[in-house]
Amino acid sequence: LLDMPPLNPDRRTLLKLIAAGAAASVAGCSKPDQTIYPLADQPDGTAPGKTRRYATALPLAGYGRGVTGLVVNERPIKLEGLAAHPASLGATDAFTELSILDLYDPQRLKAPTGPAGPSNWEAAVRAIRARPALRRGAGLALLTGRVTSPTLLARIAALKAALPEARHVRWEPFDDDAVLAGTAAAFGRRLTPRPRLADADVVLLIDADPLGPGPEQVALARAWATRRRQEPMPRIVAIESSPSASGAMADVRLAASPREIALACGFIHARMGATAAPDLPSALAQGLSAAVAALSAAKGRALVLAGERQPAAVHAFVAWLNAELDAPVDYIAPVDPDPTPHRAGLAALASDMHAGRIDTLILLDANPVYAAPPALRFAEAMARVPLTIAATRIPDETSAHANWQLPLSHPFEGWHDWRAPDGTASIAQPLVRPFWDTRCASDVVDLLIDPAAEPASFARVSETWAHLGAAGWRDAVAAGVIPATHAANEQPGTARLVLPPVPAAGPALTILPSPSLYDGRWSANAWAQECPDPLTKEVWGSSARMHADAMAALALRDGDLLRIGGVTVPVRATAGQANDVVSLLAGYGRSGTGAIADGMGVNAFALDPHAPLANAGGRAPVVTTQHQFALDSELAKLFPVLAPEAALPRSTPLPTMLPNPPARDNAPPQYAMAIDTDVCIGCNACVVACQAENNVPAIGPAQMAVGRDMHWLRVDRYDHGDTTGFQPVPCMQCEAAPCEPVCPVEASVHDAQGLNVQVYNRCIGTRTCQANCPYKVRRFNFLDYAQASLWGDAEDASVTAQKNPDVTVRARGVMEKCTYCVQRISAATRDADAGGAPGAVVTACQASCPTQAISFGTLADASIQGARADGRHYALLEELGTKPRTTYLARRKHS
Amino acid sequence: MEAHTLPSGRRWTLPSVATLQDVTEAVAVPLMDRPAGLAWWIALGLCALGTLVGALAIGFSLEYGPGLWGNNSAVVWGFPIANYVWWIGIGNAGTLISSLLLLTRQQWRGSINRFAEAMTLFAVSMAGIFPILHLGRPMYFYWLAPAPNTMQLWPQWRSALVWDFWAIVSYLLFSVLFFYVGLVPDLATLRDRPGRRGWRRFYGFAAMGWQGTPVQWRAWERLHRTLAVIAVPLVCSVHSIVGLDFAASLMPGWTESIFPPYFVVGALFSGFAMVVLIALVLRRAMRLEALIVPAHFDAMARIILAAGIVMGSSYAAEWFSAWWSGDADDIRVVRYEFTGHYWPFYWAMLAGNVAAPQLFWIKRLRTSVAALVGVAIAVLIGMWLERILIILETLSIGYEPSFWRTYAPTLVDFGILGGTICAFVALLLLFARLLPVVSMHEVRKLVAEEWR
Repeated sequence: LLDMPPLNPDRRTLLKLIAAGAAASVAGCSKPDQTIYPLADQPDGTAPGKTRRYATALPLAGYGRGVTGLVVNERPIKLEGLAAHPASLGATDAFTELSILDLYDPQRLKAPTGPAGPSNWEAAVRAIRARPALRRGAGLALLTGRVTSPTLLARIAALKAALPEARHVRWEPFDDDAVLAGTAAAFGRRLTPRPRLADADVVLLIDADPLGPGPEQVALARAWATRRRQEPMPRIVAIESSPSASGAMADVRLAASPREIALACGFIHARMGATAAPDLPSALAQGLSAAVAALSAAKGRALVLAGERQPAAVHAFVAWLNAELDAPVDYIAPVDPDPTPHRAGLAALASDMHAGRIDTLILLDANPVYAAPPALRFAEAMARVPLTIAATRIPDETSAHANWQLPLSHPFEGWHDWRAPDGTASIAQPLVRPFWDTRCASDVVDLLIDPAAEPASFARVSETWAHLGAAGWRDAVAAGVIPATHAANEQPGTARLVLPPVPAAGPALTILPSPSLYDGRWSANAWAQECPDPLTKEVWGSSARMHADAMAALALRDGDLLRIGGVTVPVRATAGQANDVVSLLAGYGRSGTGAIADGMGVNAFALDPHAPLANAGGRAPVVTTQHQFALDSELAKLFPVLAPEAALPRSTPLPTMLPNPPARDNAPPQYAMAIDTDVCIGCNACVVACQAENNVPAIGPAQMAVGRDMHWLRVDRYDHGDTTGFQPVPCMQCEAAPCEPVCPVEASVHDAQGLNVQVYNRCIGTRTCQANCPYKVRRFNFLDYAQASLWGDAEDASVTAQKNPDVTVRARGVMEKCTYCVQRISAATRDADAGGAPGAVVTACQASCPTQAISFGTLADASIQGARADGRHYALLEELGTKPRTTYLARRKHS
Repeated sequence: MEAHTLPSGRRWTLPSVATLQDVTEAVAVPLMDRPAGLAWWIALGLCALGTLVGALAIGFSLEYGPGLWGNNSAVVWGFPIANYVWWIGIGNAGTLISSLLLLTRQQWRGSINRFAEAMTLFAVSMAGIFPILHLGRPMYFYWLAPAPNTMQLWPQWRSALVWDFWAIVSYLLFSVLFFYVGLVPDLATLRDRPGRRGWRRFYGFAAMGWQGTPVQWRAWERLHRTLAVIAVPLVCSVHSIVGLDFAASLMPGWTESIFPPYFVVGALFSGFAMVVLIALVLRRAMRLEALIVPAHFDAMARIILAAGIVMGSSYAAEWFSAWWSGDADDIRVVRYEFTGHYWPFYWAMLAGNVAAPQLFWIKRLRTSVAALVGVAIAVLIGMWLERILIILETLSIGYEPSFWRTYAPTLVDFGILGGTICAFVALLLLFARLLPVVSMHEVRKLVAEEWR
């Protein structure tokens, strides 16, 4: 190579080179000389294009939730629930559905970065080992989120053994400090209450949102729905300062400020003991009196729940009340073994950091700079620490302030274990090799112990569960849960009565976990940002929620900017909001987290709760997907609400000249869907499940602002007076579909199974079908959404790997729509044709639903026939004669 | 303008046109002997610029997709469809004037039918852009035609859009034919007239050997009249079918059996407004005062007035049928028209389409240039608003309250609309310099009859 000729060949040389190149390429195309063998049978039994299902788990706030990973061609493409897991029960929530995109997120850290720029693990380890702190661990602090993982706990214990003076602090933005302090006050020891909603006839929710976002949403919602399907219909009363999903499903919803809630506890206590009750606003007093009467009448089957935001005294009072009511609630020892309160632990760490007592700070998947209380001045504290190392999946505010950024693996890239909120342990197996140079949390802790440690998550997890034996290990991994590991119920003993002190009146600020971003964990997820809030239908941002009167007092209208301290945030009048409470969703107002999250909304954690409120002037309305919520008389038919035992009038079929053709003997199965709005909690799991399954693109805030959302399945929220309900609207698959006859090119056609299918390749994009669709369920690719990147400068090729290979990625100018997951129907048909048992087809939305509100099957199936025979059965806009295959069961409510 | 019946007894021409030769000269001199004025060049330059902007807007739309417009998932249609309906409405008037007035022996049409037909041609050309442009995948527009293809798929004949495709295509072809047939004798006249050699060769080529023999005239008369007989149903069908694009649907505010006739009248209405505007300009610019006389404007103003009344009645019928049906969805749409997001535009539409033409009850205003220009522009704007509002009102407030969304156009939308208007005017300007703007042979016949 050294004596290579200069690269300015003359014509002759050039021709020679071309000839040589051509010859070489011909040679390159010929077979090798030896015999080669095609891989006709894959060694591990996989077949190209076949979906394989693996049980694994994902954490939320440190608790494991079982999931089933659907893997096609070695790529995980979709997550479903895991029936055997107590926090999944076969269903998912929106967070689980969102997590598949996290795996492929182009914003992920791909290699360690040090103070001098891109680096590697060895250099990071050298930097850590160079610290004097490492001698005995003095001055070394490890900050994590909640740790329930037996393996990670073992690694941390090993770390403490090796470096005895190192300390571990765990902290979650949404903690259960008050719950545990409350039970400690009532029973003398910290216990986690576990309500049995399935056994409750009357439920009083004191600012509690069991159906709302959280690690137990699926399990609690399932229990609630199970009970709701039995007679008599349970009665739910909610006192809350800001409307929640549970409040929306309650029979009576009472708005109350924190002060009124404390008063309400005293009121309930007085009523239970028939003593003089404190003064309350009459509506609240009336509602509470009725609630107490109902609770007392249902002793043994009456349950009271308090929200995690409520102070410890309220939890203690509720523990007493539940004991009085003999309520269906169990107590277990906290699954999280760390006895230090979250807030106290973090505050102590921050003060030590400020005092210069911390020498090395390792942050493991925690983001205190974003979510810690502003009084801790955590970013400043980090500046006082000589070496800060943030291990994270996606760069965030904390990693921006750290000296080193270490890339964490996605849970699907390594071996993990977690405990569910009920204590059940599960081993989470990886679904792919790490895409980039990333490591699991346990590997990072290992590096602190042994600088030469190689990634060994499998070895660590198998060590932890060595006692299972080889067969036991195999079964546990395959099943996704380890049998008999749930926490045993504790006998709490007699509850001491604690009456909550009444706080002073005054405005209050509450921070709610976002139904799509949680505490900010999913802020960088494009699907999460584009997932409409169940109540306000806001996307790509969030307004502060206020009572209309409070807004009027500040001369604010929806979308106007409210000033809270030094921050301005748009406001929205929200029905059911307490008058002097302003509520914000967590997870917004991110910075340094990539193009998706940055600049969307305001960081609620950073707000001063005592800052005065003022009209900031100016407007910045948040984009919403729905503007009209109230259904007046003429529109009431769209979302009927019934008394518990009532039935809708049976509609008599209208005479028609075009009856359905008589069924043939060998007619293919006719598919139909029935959606029970009575148990729909608007959680959006189905919306994101559909997005993941059907390659539905996220289109970004600008396109959403124009009103071009692409979700095939939307969840409408409607208000009937003071009744709120949710109505998921996929395609109705009309038997007489208005979209079909108007398509000039026959792209919208009916198939033999009763599906209204869209032939993407045939569509030329006249949009006449959507213009003529009464349900407006078709979606149009106004731009090349499938190819467009929302990730700014990040190389987004990885996102395409998530795409479901069984579903066409739609081009620009093509209309698309819900197909009842025709690819799944087709797969089932193929399996049946191949001689396998014809399994029931489960659509993505149906599989995700925590409350099993969605039934899908053929018209001959019992589930569909049962729904269609129900007194609550109705079809949307039936009078138009479209004969929808998707039909509904009406919402019920105690009057 | 003066009163329209002259003491000479001649109603449709001025006495300055004394001989048949005068008719020919009045039309041919500005075309063949006079150079284009500065005003013409400025106008053409401006229109070319506007056309370029429109072409850019179209180019961007083709490159990036319909997402550059204001359309959204609920209001899936917007400016392109409204522009299409508006232009094809304008394009209706020319052929109607020629054919319907020919069949009803309205001789005065001779002075205006030529440029009205040209206007039709250009307006239909502008209209023809939109059904293709508005598609998500415009490169496949030909799938609307029953072209043999490997997928063995045919157009879906139940769709009004397929009927529309045929209506536009046949109407465009027919308009070209009708225009050309009417032009042939005049082309021969220009060929035979002294003038520059190159132009005469051009006219001679285009005249296809017309000699004006009695046999040729007889054949021509028969052909022209036959075409006129075909034209009337065609004109009615093209706009009826446009109406059916909406009416053959399920949406509140669209399922109206009145739509087809109401669209035809609306088309006639906007077309006549455009003819009035063009006539006023041509009359002045090409000094055709002797051939296009106040009586013409008086007649056209009466038609506009009549059409305006029909439009008003149609709107009233729409409101009434919504109320009479008692259908909540229809009533909601009507209420939304008056009080919803687009209410200023709805009231402006009523002002332009119903109120403004009422000025023509006053005889003096029917021949006042200011009144004619004002009302014609009001009608054109009103009719465009009607086209866009038909789309917006229904799609913004359909059956599902959760999907009630409003529409706001983008600059690209306006660029395309403005571009087609400029292109249309540019084509008219070129037409005025290339072909006789008034049908000489028909006006000669008119003058001859007036002498009698």
